[in-house]
Amino acid sequence: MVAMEKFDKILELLERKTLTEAEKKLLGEFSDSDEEIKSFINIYKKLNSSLTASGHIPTDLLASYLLFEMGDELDNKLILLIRNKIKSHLAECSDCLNEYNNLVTEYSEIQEHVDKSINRDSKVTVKESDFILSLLLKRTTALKYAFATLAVFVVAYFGLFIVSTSVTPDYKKNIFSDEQEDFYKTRGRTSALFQQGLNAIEKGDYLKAIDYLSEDIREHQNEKSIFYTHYIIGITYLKASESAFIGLFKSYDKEKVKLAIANLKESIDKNNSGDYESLKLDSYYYMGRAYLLNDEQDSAIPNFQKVIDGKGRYSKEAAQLITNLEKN
Amino acid sequence: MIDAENVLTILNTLSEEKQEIVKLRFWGDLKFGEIAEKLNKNEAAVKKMFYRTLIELKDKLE
Repeated sequence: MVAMEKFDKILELLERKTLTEAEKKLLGEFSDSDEEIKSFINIYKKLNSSLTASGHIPTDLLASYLLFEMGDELDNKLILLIRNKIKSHLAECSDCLNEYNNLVTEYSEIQEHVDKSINRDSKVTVKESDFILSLLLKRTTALKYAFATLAVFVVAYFGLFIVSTSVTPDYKKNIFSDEQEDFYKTRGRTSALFQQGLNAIEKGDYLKAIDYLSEDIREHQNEKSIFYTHYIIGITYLKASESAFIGLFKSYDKEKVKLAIANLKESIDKNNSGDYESLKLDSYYYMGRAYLLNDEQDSAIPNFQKVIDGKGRYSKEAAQLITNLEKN
Repeated sequence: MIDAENVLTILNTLSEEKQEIVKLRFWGDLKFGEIAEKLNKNEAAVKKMFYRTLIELKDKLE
């Protein structure tokens, strides 16, 4: 490490917007005096250019600021410290304000998708099947037999669809039916592994996502926001547990569901600052849904009850599920 | 110029404290005295950590 007095001088020169010829020469001499100092000066200049040259707030920082303002990331120390600077910049810079407003829109859409992601019935209707059949019957004679065969398959498929629907309990249907990829564009954590996990989820590669998220947990298990990774990996295990035969007769891998439950529990245990109660209630809800997938109704109900007691966003769905379970 | 996205990806792999110092310096445009005060640390310690962090970043970027 370079002597503090010398280092202070180097920093002073680096922080100046313009340098005199003598100061440039001095900085050059510092740079030539030691390879490590040369490296430091180079990387400082490069970072300064890449992180601040545009004069605008980087999107990543704006996103963290948005989460903070929405109450999702209240313990973000960085935002706490520079919140006022960001606010003032937004008041003066229309480009950054536009970018911020776009993020607000994206955030609202994600919330909407999450709200809609549970308890939606399949949208395949009898009218659609009738439409397909009527279309087939209008075809020419030459194709009639081929279409008739296809029609048989269509009818058979819808027959199986009805059987599949009737043999699958309601509480196992459509956990994520309306969920869109945007659901995973969260910025709950900023670690590179977490982001890589989200990218893999967005591509539908749940197993790869689980690898990244597991590594994030291994490497950063003591970080405060790690509960967010446990939450997302829990949801991802639920997604990865689902399989179906030609889109029908859904089944769930019990081991993956157990891992989902374990991670959602861990997320709840580690989410103890009191600032993220809404995420905790969501975890209880998904944990309840996971127990139902493994036919553990008695374990599911207390979790749904917690969602209702805490007035979580899925209170209504949780209450409906309890009512249905009690009827059975 | 280094690609800001690469820098952020690598920066985000460092400890939270190192990230904070670099981000507060470049994004927050705070002086080291201000960073030290906000992080409840001594200014010399913050400068040393800033120096080491930048050298670490440089090694990882190469």
